[in-house]
Amino acid sequence: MRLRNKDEVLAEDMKFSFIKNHMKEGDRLPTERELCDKYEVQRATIRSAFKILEREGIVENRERSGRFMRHSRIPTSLNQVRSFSEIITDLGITPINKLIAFEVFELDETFSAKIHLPIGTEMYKLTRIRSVMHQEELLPIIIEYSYIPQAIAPKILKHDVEERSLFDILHSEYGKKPSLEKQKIEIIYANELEAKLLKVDQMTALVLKEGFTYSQDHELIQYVHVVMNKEWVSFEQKSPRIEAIIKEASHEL
Amino acid sequence: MNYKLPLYIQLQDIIIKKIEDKVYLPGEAIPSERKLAEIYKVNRMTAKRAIEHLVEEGYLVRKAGSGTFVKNLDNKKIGLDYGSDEENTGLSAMLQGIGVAISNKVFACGEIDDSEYLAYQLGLKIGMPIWAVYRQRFGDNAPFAVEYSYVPKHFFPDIETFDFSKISLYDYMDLYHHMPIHFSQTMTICSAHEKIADLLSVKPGSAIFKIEIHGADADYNLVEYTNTYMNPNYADFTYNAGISSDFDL
Repeated sequence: MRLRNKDEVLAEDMKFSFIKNHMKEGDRLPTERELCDKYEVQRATIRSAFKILEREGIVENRERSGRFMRHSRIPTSLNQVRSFSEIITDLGITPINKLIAFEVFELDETFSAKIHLPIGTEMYKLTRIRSVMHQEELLPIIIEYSYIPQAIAPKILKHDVEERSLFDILHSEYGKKPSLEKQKIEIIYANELEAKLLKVDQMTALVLKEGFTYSQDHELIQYVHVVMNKEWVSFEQKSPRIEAIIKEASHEL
Repeated sequence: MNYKLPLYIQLQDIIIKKIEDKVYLPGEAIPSERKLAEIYKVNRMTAKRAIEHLVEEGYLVRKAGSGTFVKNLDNKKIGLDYGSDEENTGLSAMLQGIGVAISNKVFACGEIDDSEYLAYQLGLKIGMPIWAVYRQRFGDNAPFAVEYSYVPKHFFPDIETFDFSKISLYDYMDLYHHMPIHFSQTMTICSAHEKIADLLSVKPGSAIFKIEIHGADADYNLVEYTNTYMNPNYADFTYNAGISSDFDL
């Protein structure tokens, strides 16, 4: 069996040209015609290569405008405990957060079994929507349900839970430093509420992240249930040394 | 036992732990309700309730007249533990840990020496030969992953004589002391392209996991570039993140 088809090879060559030309999000790509000339292939091959790149989430096809490099994804680190706010600010994206609900409740049997705290433990539930500016529109990309035991952070609403990261508040205001996170990632399909809040069709695939965050004393300080637009997120366990080696070697190419 | 959680939940946790620790094996019968009640000093209703919940959650199956058995993992999701940088995170290593029979099929392999993109990913000069191994990974005969692996051929001069359906690629790389032990990885969710959808038995365009892996050996030679596509029906990802020494809020 042949290793790669023409369109697969072409998609790969195009990926290399994006790297070589330092293409960034929002950059307009050459037209199909220009690429036909450049690579000396048939139009059908170009279209097929573009389809591969679109499916991989690297390129987006804006009807009547052309094709563009897709926006970058917001990475979640798999090996470091970092707050979302910190990550997004590092990327130079201005996040817009909104607290849309705040509840106080006691753990029932099911929930108690899930997070391993006693039945009746008093909890805060904060529901926040995180949005970004995209093509001059406010786009909600994440729904975050944060559950924090009241005893860990009494009167948490005294602090600005919209502008500040919860990790930051837990650490600096309550002395609880997030030290370990156990996380699980799955693909789910948008229900009516999620579809409405994230402005997608019902049954669109979304990413669900469930996380338990513990302090240095192994106390559970937060349980989080996060629903994310899959086009906007990635999960990384990067090795800076390996990344540096790749970059170094590329100077020779 | 933890006195704060309801007894039937504590008993469930004990049974789950025994399943995870392989004290109770897939397909094996667990003690009867009466026996469990006796061993753990709970009343029979408690034992019954614990078992009912575990049957509901898919850990156990009741066979009429025979008793209750640990479920065989045909439909169970595989929790993938992306361990620390120091551990071997080859897929086989992780999945075999939970009693799923893994098999592989190499659907293509060969040499590539004209890809600037792959040369870039492996830190090579263009023209240096790269060996490609494309595998379908099956768990209990259902395809759960498709892997496109690329390794620098100069580290592995006789690689074309090996059939990686039968042996593990990492084991082979280890023979030459170039097994990857350091990894840099990114996971995204993308849409399945026709060819991949076919290999994974999912609908074209449906959401799948994509993991891009760069592997380096003990001396930090780049030895692996792999793109793995995973069927979300058979995988979710669990991992532990710890604090980094220079993490500063």
